[in-house]
Amino acid sequence: MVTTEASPDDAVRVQNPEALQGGHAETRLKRHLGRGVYVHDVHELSNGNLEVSLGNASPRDLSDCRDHDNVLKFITLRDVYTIEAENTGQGVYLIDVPDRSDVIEGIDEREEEIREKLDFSMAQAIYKHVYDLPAVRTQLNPILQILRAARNRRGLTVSRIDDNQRSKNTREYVEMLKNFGYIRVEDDEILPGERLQSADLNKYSWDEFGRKFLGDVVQRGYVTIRDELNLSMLGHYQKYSGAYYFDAVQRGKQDLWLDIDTIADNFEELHGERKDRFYLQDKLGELASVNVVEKDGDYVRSEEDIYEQVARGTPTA
Amino acid sequence: MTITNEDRERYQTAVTDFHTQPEPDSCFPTALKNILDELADRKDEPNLRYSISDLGDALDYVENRASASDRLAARLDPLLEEAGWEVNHMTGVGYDQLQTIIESDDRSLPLCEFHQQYFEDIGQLTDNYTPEPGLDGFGRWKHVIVPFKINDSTVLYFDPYIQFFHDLDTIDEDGAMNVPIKSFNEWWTRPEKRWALWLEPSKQQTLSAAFGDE
Repeated sequence: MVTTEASPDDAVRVQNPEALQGGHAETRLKRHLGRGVYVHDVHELSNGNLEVSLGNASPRDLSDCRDHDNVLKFITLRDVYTIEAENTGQGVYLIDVPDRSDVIEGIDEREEEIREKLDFSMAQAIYKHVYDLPAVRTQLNPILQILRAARNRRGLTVSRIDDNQRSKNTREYVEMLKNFGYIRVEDDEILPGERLQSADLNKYSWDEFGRKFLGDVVQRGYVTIRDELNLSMLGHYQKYSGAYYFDAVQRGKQDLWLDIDTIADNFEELHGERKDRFYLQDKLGELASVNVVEKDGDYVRSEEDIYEQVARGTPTA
Repeated sequence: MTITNEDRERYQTAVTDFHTQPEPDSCFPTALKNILDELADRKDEPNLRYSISDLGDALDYVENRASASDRLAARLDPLLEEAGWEVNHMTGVGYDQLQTIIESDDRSLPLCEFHQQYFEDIGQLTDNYTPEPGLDGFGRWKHVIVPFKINDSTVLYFDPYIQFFHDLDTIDEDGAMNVPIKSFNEWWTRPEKRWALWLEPSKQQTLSAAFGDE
């Protein structure tokens, strides 16, 4: 009772492109590429060939740690790999089965893209909240000082900053603020740029000014600030909240409760590093104090407005 | 012919020794480990014992990317050779054939693959776990299960996700999925018509024995 089977070197023959999804050809692809791979979309190219776009499904345990609802969610990722099926002109299309490693690479890239977007939308959603945490304020202070000096035309000069650098990045902050239009430099003096001029500065109190404009700068220059200016505190907190929101957004459940151990697993999956649960407790406690998450003992869940913002900015396929 | 308490007991005994799949997508290497272990016990053949990770390597398992399931003889026979066994799989397996495989002392338990319709239906059959679709449904994921007993009207089988979500000791006999054959048929018939995999003594071995080489 043995069947011979096709080798992956043999092209898959397809007669009816409409039957590709869920048909024999998809089964061949699944056998070689993994049971999660599926045909997401098929369309005809101008040369008569078919473009077959593959997706990938991966089951994930997204149970609520408090309700124990045992949910197995199939996370689907679209457009992980594209195959061109050759039209033989005789009513038959030929699909070359791709290498499994190439398709896995495509899935990895798509997943990384989504994680980047999660990280970015997380940063945007929580910035104004974590601004109240002392560690973040201290690190962003030089940027705030430059903004305030510009706002009040205190006669701060670039050479004075050079002479008086408190951080080796200060000069780079000036460049960034200039590029984004918050300040301009005239005869070495730092003056308000378009963005500061166009805002009615009087309506902001001293504290609100910092929160508003630093928040603004972070939204515009997040990647530069995090990666090039080494403001590690900015990349810091959303890693911890992201380890929670990653699951909540994928499950599509705002009131999902996760425990610290599950968040530790997610953190490890996202950042390749295992954090001690006491350390995580501490970070999530800080985040709860500024309303980024809600925390009840060992359990964490979303704050509704943060959830909505992160969910909007993170694609789920 | 009904599913007797004895059948359930056999199910419980075998399943209690089954390993839980370490990841939600490692059903195939774990199911193989489980049918190999059951055979190794029954045949007292330690050379059939492999770790889930060894079997995962043979099947090119990658975490969150599942495993391959083509060229199964080439992937698995080298592991089974020394013990004198080989992998068999075919489509179009009949229910009486499946029953024969299950009951045969000279075969491992079989594995079958289910159509994603299973995930849509299972909520009505058990509350042990709840599959939820993603944006593209279940991606036509082919779920691997181990059938234990078939009669005229029902099939008893092991669904590894139940064990994944529960400590088996806490599952009473309802933990064994016992479903109408009509439902089983619907899940098992698509997309490949009734595909099953199991192990048999290798032909080489049988020939050697026949020619008195051993």
